[in-house]
Amino acid sequence: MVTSSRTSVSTYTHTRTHTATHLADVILGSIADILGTLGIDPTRLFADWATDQTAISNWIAETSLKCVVLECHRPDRTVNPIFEFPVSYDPRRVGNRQFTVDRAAVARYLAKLQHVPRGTVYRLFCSFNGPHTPQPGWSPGSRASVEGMSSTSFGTLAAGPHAGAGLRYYRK
Amino acid sequence: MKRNRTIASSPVRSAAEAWRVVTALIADTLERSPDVAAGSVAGELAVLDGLGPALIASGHLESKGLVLCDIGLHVTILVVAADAALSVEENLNPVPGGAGATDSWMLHIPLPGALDASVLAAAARSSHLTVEKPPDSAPAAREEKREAGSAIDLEALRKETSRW
Repeated sequence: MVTSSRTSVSTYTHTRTHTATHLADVILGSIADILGTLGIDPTRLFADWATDQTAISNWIAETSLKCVVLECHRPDRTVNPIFEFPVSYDPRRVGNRQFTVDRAAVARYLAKLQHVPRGTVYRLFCSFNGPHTPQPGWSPGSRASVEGMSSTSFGTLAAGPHAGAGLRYYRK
Repeated sequence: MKRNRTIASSPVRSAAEAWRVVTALIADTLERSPDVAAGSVAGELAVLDGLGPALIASGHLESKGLVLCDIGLHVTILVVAADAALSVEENLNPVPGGAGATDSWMLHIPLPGALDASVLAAAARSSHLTVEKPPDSAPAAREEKREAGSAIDLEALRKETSRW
């Protein structure tokens, strides 16, 4: 790292932590945009931002995170829509030092979302590939079933050298 | 003079860390001025806690950016992510012009579409935050009255006496 005054140019060795930071940010940023687009109050997401970012990033870094799930709970007790952010750990990605995010595709995707009724709230879940380190602010829970819901795959939302995150949209 | 600063977000640092860098840059710039109280800028920007990182993580500050304006000060702050973040040459020094800042400084926040309601709500909670389009250049200092210090509006008096 070369530093001059407070201007700096850095050379990075891309670690799992860099990939985890990148994917956690993109997933949470997409969740914020989805909530805003649907008309669901994102205040709690903002308040818990640092806690959730740290947890998701740590789980990706230890390769335990399988999927982040955003559920929309309507006042009539139905859960619709549901968004899944599956994380894949592809060993072939190692050495591919590119961090990507498909913002334009996200914007096109958001434009197709339908509003939800006033009073709809959200819940976040994480599922795991196996053992995982407990993280503050997260506790065990059961996610809603997606049975009978139609789904659309968004493809790859973001990627780094060690992992990638996708997006799948379930609706009734 | 218009200036630009670009801050790196993920994967270099998280959106929350990048937001702390942004707020420190703004505070460091404005609080060099004797007219801006120490700690006051952070207090004003606190209404963006949580929302600021969300704007960064969603990529909403990649192209439009925040614009900090005051007399003699116009700086656009962009925050970039992914590969673009790896090649950013950051300058975190206070922005020139900040030493002359006034208590009327304004931070213009772009309306990002999906998070419009949250941005509007935050802007309504601070007199230093706005979603209005920023000026094209730094606002000029207000013109001093020629007869500064006079209790009499001499210009009005001249007009009045010219009718006599």
